[in-house]
Amino acid sequence: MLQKKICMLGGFGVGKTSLVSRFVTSIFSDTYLTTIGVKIDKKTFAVDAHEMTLMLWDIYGQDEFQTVRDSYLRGASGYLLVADGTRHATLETAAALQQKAESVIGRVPFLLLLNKADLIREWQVDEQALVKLVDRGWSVVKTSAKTGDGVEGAFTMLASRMAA
Amino acid sequence: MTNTFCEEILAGLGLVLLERLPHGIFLRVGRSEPPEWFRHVMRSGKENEPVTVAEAMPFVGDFLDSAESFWREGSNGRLRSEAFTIVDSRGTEIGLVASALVVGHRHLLAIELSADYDERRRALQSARENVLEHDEHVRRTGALLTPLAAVRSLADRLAASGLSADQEALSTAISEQLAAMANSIQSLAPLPKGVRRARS
Repeated sequence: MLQKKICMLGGFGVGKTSLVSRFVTSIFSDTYLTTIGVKIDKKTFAVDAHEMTLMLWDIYGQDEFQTVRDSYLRGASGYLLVADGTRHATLETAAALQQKAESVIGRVPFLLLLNKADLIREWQVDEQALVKLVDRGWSVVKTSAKTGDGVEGAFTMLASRMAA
Repeated sequence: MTNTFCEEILAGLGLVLLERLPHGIFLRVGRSEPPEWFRHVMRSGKENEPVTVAEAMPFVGDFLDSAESFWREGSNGRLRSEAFTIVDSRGTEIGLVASALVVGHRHLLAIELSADYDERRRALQSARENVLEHDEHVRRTGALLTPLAAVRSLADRLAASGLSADQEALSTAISEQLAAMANSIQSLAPLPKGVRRARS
């Protein structure tokens, strides 16, 4: 059976832990609890007719208080950058983390998840900013860990690209 | 001091000591009861029963790559991992740290409760909530000032459109009130990041 490591990367409070929780256990909690260090979950599912186990490394959010260490990224076959649509600054953090990830693990598949799609009327990230990222070759998926919209599809899409 | 006494102290400190044997097998060192957290995480771990540490704690499995090099080199001191979080059989999150050690010819892996885990989480949580509160404050202030500026602009255009004396006086009064409102909103300046607003 294929086993792949995926890193969840993004600023703090963007919903990395909630996305993993939604994907692995279908549970969502409104309470924000900051992640210390790393928390690893796994999920086995079928990708393109093959069984794959994803080791999901939910890494603490990057901010002025702490930066993501290279050692957490090593061995990853792909990563999910997560930004919060209601906070434009988290998109800049995601962009910085993408550069860091590429410098440590090279060009591996990744997606940008714009989370909190359930609050889309409060979004600071506009379509123009997304178009720029898509023009750079990024795949952008709108997700909501709260409602589950786009979550399963995003993980499946990344897994499928890693398996290719 | 007896070995049992030492083992009980280690368990009391929330520390589990495993010995790395040939073929990558780990056995728990000691015969006394392991710490409570360990019993809720590992199904194995009895005397002479291999501990499937990498399976139960994937982060440790990853750390073992570095630990193996450390053991091979017979280095002094210890190789310490970053903090990591696991969820035990009761659904409780536990913060742990792993260390590789060489004692004589024995290769040891210590796994212990991260001493400052809760404190660190509380501090980071509080700091980040402050940042979120600050950002929300900036957003709300901006949401008030933008339409207010638009109304002031309309009032200025109205004043310049050839009004009677009475109408002009009224328009001036409106402009003054709008300016006062804008000043009030701006005076609710965002708190510096890291400074918490007093809650009533």
